[in-house]
Amino acid sequence: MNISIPHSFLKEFLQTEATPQKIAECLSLCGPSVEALEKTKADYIYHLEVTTNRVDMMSVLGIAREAAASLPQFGLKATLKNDLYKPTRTLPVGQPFPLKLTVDSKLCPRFTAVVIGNVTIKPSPPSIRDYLEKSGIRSLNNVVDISNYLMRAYGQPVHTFDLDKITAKMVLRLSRKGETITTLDEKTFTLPGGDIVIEDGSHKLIDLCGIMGGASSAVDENTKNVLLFVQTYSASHIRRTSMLLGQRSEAAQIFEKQPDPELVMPVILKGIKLFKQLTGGEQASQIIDLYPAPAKPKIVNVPLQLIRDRLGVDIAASTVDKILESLGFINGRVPSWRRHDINIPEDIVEEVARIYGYHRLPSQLMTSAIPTNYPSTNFYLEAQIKHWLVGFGLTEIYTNSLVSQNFPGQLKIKNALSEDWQYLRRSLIPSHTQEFPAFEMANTYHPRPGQLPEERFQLLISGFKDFAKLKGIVDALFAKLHLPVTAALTPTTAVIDLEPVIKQAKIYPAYRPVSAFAPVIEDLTFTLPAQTYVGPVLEAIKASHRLIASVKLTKTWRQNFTFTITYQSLVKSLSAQKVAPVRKKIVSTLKTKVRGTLVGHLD
Amino acid sequence: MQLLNLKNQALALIDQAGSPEELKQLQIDLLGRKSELNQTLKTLAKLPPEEKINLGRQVNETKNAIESALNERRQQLGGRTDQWLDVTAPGKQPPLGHLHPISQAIEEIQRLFEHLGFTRVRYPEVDWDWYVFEALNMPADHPARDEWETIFIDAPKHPKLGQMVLTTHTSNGQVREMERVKTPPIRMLNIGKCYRRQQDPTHTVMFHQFEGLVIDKGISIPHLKGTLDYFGREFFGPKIKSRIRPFHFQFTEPSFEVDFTCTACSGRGCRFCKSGWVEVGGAGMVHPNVLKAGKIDPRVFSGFAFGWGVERVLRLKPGLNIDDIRMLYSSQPEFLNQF
Repeated sequence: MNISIPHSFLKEFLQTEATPQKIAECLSLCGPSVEALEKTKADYIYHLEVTTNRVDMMSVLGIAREAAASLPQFGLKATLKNDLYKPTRTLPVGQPFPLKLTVDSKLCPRFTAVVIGNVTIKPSPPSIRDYLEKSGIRSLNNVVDISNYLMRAYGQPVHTFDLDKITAKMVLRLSRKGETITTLDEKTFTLPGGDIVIEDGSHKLIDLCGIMGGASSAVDENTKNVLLFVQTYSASHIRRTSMLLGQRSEAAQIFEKQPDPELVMPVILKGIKLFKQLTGGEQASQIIDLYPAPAKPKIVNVPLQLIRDRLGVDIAASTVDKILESLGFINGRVPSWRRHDINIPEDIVEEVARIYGYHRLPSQLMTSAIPTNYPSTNFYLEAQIKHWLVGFGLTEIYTNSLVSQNFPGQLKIKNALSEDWQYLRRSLIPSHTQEFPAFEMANTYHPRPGQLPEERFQLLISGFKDFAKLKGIVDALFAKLHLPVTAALTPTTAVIDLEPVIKQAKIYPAYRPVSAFAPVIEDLTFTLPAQTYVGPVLEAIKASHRLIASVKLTKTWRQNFTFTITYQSLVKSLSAQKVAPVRKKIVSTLKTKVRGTLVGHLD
Repeated sequence: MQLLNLKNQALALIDQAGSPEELKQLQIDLLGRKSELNQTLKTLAKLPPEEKINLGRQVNETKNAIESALNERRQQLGGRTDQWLDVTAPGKQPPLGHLHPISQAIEEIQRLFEHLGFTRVRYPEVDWDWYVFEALNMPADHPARDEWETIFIDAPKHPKLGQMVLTTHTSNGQVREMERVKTPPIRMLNIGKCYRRQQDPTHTVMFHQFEGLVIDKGISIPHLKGTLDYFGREFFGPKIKSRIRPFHFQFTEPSFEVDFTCTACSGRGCRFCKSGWVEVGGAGMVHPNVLKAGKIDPRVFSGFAFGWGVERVLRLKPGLNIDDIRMLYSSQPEFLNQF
């Protein structure tokens, strides 16, 4: 949530000589983050980010309280003033309330209302207009401005009705599915059902509670009698309706975060005062206050040692007490406006730590034992494979796991951001549309009933126009891994399941002694029948005798294939004569296996 | 003895050879059919077996030594040919491959956290709501979930673990790691792909996060600060400092936003950072409820956690200046070939 507050408005609640720059810095370090400090003609505006747990800071009073707590830690004097929580007068008694009320207190934990008679609608005084406009709220007329002023100053949303447009009674209840309401901004909603609404004696819905008032009962330039209305609502109901209708008004965003019911009465009293000042209107009824279950004070105690342990400093008990008091915590009692945010000792630790200042805490590395319980994933080999492939001249790419094509057996996205990202891919191949040799390591996703999908970690090599080059890369990779090739090859792609490969790969192969005897190396050329697979031929030559250390295909010309054969023994030196029988064996093997014939003659 | 003399003479001759032609002749004289070495070889057959093996080995060693000396000298002479050599002409490059900058960053992050004893892990990218939200102290419909822009999978709910979602953060690894290790100490580094419904120059629907989780007895805010300072120094540069500011996450208490000194202006304040600091991501002390969800006793153990975008820290690498991270996932050679 974001809130903008002019410096002049803040000073209504904060007594300090600190500059806006200093206040912004202290707030950012200890409390809400000041995203920007904007300079205007004669003022500054703080643009603040308020976290969702601190609905009490969606107000000038709340920010002033933070500033009053933080500034003294920087050696700057600051005190909170005009704290609405400090009661200023007793409840005035008035005429009976004119409407019959039926309120479900589960939906509306605290319901207050009062009639203000004889208002005069006119523009607000310049100071109020200036505060509102610099806070990013348009000034309309004095009645609307009072609502907005109360919300911005204290963080309590307020509604005003034209009393004379309401018939006889108010029933606060849940809506039925399909009921309609037209709100102040002239939008008509068909309600999902289960929304908090108010119906009057004419069976019309006059309020979509906590989100926006109804148009039919709105204050206009002829309004004479106003119903001032200050409530808290069931947060989950407000949130649900607001989300379902897409109506994220500031009131809704506050109500869904459980603002303080103890704030309701001070705000309505302040409202009565403002009505008198700005509209000339007088309180014309008793104040209705339906609050059957006031929250009991909440106590959260924290051992001093826990604070010291977490902060890593021996902070004095008196410092802790002072910090907590400045935030409204008295003897472990949580202030009403922090009721939902503070639950456990760690929450108090945070309060002390941030106001004391995170920047004052030491910085040190752990000195405790290093864990040695490793998972089996071999991230090093993954990285090594990437580096080998890069070394072979390939470029690594990352493509999106979310795809547009619907192939059978793919997981579907329920709320896709775009048509391009509707499915979780089960193959990497369609994602590789690039025209250069590339590779990618990524998961593919394979649904399993009742379980999470299998995430198969795969390597795709793609972008080759020459199959032999692609295969060469795959062969080279598996040679480095000391494994037989296990890749799914197509003419342009190779897919490798990495998990088994990485599990079986050998970083250190079994060492074979290097022969002290010189090898005999010679070329033999064979004529092979058309469409003979040469892979098995190479294997057959290699397998034909144990003295054959290696076989390479070095030249092909039409149906002639030249193999370079290395003969080597670990125990003796070889000569051309000594390998003659081996040579004969090769010739006979190829003759029987593939009907290959030697080019030339053997001695 | 005879062979040793032969070898020494041969090596001297090779060393004195002044041209490739001379070397060619030497090769014939020293190793050819009529060479002394070859003659020695022929006498082998008449020797008794024991001597045969011995002499055979010596002959072979001599031969190898001469061959390698010939090769070496040949290479030395290569530069002294009469032909004109243009050393300014471009060389013949092997094809240049390119490691993706995300992989580069991940390797660096892994390496520098391993120095601190962190264990890298990987957890599911498609996970149950329980691990992504609920176990992290975010019950269903909690307003805090709004921040995540979650992508849901069209699949039946798990009776206990809830909906199937694409992980919006690597924090799903927190409780999974507690379940794997069972008893602290834990120093986890979880790096993985995450997904959110966002796409603009600084966000991509698929992105990467790295998550640190440390749990042990007596882990405090200063330990987090020390780890952050270490990361800033190692990853961004020796003058880079970190700072933490208050924030709110459901799964940490206290929670922080983490800033590092702006690398563009070294903290002086510039157009990019305004304040001299750049926000990198979130961190905090692990919430007791999260420890409980991982069956770890919060009265005995405490911890800290942080989780940031790999793209985010990559963008802040000094001098890299990636202004649109969507480029990372575009497969454009003009972009990738620069790495």
